[in-house]
Amino acid sequence: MAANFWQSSHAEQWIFDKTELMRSRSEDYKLFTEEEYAKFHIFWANFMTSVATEGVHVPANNSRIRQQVIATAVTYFKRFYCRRSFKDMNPFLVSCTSLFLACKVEEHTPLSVSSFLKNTAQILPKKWGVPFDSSLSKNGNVYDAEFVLVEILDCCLIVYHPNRPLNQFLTDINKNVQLREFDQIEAQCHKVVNDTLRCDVGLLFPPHIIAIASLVVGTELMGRGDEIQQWLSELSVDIDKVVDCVDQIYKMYKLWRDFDEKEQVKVLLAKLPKINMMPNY
Amino acid sequence: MLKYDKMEKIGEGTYGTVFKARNKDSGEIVALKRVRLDDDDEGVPSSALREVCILRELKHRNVVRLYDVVHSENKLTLVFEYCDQDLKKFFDSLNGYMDPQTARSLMLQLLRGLSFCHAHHVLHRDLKPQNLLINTNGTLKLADFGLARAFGVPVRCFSAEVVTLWYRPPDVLFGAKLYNVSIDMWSAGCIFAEISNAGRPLFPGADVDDQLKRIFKQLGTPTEESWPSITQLPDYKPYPTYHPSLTWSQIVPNLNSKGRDLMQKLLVCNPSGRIDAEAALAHAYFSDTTDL
Repeated sequence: MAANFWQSSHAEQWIFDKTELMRSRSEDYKLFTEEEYAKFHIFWANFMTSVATEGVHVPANNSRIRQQVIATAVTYFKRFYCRRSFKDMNPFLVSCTSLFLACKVEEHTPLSVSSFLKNTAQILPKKWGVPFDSSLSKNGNVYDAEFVLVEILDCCLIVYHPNRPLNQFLTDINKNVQLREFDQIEAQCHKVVNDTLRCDVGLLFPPHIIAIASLVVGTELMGRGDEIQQWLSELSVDIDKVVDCVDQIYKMYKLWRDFDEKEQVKVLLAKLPKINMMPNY
Repeated sequence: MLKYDKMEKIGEGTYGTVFKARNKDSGEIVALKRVRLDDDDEGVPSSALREVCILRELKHRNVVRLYDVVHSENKLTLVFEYCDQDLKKFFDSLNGYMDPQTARSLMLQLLRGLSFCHAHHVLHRDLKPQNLLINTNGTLKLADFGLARAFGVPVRCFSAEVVTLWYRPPDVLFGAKLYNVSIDMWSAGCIFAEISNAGRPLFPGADVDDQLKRIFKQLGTPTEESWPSITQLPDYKPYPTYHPSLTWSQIVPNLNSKGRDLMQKLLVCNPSGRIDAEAALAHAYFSDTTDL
């Protein structure tokens, strides 16, 4: 399904402008300030990454595939909370279910729900000092939530990620500009792409813009931003969008750096509305 | 599910029952596919998820449209565009004669749908007349994308129809993994012959062995020369050297020479020798309309 992003449901339904995005979260902004909300999403992305990569159930697979599953899952999670608020469905349940669903859609080795939940129960207290809500631990909850997720996501389960365009751009740069230690640049830019899961750029920009922005940020972080200036100036792309995207990635890094997860996650979680596991759909 | 009035059962799909229904608001007739849930650790079956997310992205005249997915009472129901009949039923209504114009139009639409799917990196893998729907305007639509790419061969058999071998290429019959568009092209070739003969299947084998014999009796038994590394296939076993006893004009008497040429380019035992959908659409059979 790599063929055409512009005709995809991703392009047609899941790229928002900032006002739309803010409006879609108005319920949750009553409980959280914008900054808290942004931090909270950093936590959820970190949490999903941990559940996916640090557990008993993780098969010895190559990490690139695993990253794609995580990226898809985090996207499901973010899209879900564009349509629904935290009080509609427990984010722990949504995050586990997103991972479960992404594994199937990305044709990753299907994971069993039981081992998933077991893993979550271990990771939460260990990494964030948060007790695991035992009402979560019923497999049936995830099965029910899966239905809800598919419905709220409007069956748009195929997600386009910036990694593929990033690879194309990197190949192009490597052909046209002689950069030393190219593999380090490559690794740095992919790391930035993966980090962008912690902010909203995936909901605001098409993947190729995020890829270019990640190139800019990646090279600048290495102090080598100048070296791709020439290449950038020859690109025919909406440069305002790239600048906007770059800006948001830096904001996310700043926020993430100042985010003391051990301390603040508990506070954020305490603000979550007390809700039933399953909403009435 | 309150939105739809269920009418009658119209079939059995890969993973569930299909009903005809009416949308209460719009009056539109739709097809509802109820997804069966198994009690294992899987949740929504991967095959159903696969069909949902693939059809969500594929919008083409010759691919059946998925309108909606409805969740109620722990069931998942897929809402599809309704078509009056499938190609198999269409054959039954023909009384043994297919006019060449219609045959060509059906084949053209089948290849257009396939070419679109293949361009989107989607293999159908289970093409057969029952999976090709035809609406009242004579538009053909590819349906039933329930065979997940990751699984290849039908996962579970709910009815005899699912396991039919008739449209399966020799490489797959010999146990090859299904990762290539050529699998659909072979099926298209078999369906092409069946269309031309108003519904008489080309290779109606009873089992894998019989299926391969029927194919080789018509096309000649492949050798290491015509199909390098054939002997390496997982389930390969040698077959006697058959020589075709019937000519193509005897097998598909209603098809003109250009049509026969296209058919022979589709029905090539060696998968790497099979024509692809785009090239097939450019074939003279479709461009030269003088001699039907």
